[in-house]
Amino acid sequence: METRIMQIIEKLNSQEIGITLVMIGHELGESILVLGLKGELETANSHSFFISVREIIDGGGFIEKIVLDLRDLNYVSSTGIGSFTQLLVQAKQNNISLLLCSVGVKVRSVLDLLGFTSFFTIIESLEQLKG
Amino acid sequence: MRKMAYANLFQNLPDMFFRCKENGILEEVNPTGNRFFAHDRKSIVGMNLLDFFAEKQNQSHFSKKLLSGNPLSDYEVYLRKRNEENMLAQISLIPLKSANGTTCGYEGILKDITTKIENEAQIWKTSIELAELNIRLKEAQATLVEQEKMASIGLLAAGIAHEINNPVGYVKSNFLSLRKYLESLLGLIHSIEHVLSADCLDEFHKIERNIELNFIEEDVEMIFSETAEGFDRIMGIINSLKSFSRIESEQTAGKFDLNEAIESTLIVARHEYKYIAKVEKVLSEIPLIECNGGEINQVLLNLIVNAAQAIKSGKSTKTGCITISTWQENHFVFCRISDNGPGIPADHVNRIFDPFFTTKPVGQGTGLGLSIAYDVVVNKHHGRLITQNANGAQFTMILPIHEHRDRETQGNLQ
Repeated sequence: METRIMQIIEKLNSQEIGITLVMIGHELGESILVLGLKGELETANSHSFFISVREIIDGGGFIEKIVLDLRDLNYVSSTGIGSFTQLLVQAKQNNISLLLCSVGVKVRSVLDLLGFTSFFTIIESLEQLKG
Repeated sequence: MRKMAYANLFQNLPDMFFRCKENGILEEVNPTGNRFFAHDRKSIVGMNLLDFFAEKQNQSHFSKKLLSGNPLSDYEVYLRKRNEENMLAQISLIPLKSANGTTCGYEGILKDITTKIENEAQIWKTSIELAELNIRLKEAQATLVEQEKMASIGLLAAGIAHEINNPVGYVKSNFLSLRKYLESLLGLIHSIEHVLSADCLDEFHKIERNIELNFIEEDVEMIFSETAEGFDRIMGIINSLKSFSRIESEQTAGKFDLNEAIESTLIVARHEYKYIAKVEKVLSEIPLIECNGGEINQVLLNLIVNAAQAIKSGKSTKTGCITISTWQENHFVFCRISDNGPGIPADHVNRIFDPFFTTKPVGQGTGLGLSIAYDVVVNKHHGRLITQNANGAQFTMILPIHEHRDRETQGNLQ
């Protein structure tokens, strides 16, 4: 399971398109997967990012919750938000909840302005997962 | 040169064309740019592009992009227009190089994509809502199928009970007549004994011994009492099936005796638990409640069958025991069904009422039993269904006695 996810992450990172994924944690009997986003999610690389995370979601396994940690995401374009929403749809269909964590002011303002804040479950820190 | 070659484009394109220094100071702007940002028909030449940023925290990120000397494509940022409205702009920049190869500024296009993105966002939102609706639809469909199935079984049970009731009735009545007749006949035999002459009496006793009359008399008594007991049990099962399916009062919520319902459900479910667990009942005197009895029977059946299956799955050597207790508190009737099985694993507690959540092997459980139980108790009857572990699993159903009071007393329940 873990190897499969690592391979998907490695494949995305090796493309060097300005966005990379980091495996932050895979806990509670592998039911919670925390992925860190590093770099800039822009028009050009959003689709590759979406494809990678979708592959992880479709792979199933024991995942019940995927947390995208955005603390190292410096910039997100509307297409990036679009890929978040597509992933949300994909996750719902697979009975997985998708959470956003450590959403910085920049990303949050785009979410707010596009009116998406209510659609996503946003947590302040990974500590909240334990609650 | 640029103006000469593309003067018409520069003047009339709906996007902003501009040239700026690497620090963002604008050096040349087409009329569209001024229309976006300039007050009082002035020009924005000499102003800094960064001043139009709606969010100050985005300025440093863009400044770094400018200082890098690299081209920038489709950079999105919220800008504040002259009418104080926000505009989502898409900026592309091409660096201008000086003779020594260093970047001395940029030429760029700034496009207003607010409406386009707002429309797209609307489509994204719709697709999320559709996905949610789709999931709810699937759940509702599966629940309906399961409920329909249970309703059909109830109907079938009631039908069979009704059909068997008549023949069993006259077989039992015939049996009683037969018993009476046979008793008379035996009486007759004994009376004959007293009136016979000595010769005939010897012959009579010989015949009596041959046919083992003494044994027949004893055995007949046993056969009769066993058969009577059998009839009582058959009648009991028929009554339980009838009361379980509640065919007479299916449609309306009437007065319902929960203790009686437990008794009849235990008979219907006997097959599920009789080799697995003994049942202990602590049924207090409770008032009749207003509810849909057929649905509550369904909940009881689910909880009892679940308890039996939990004990069986535990493979423990200790004797299985299902304890059912009822009592009243304020305006509510409580019914607790506990088993001494392995209990509910901690990571399942939050999910056991979710539709399709099952730990049973494929084909043995639909994962809908408890979710339907929850729906019936909580949504349809405004009660509560609580689960906890206490030497096994424990389910407590709390039902309001009066349906119309549920809203007033909901505070107490919380």
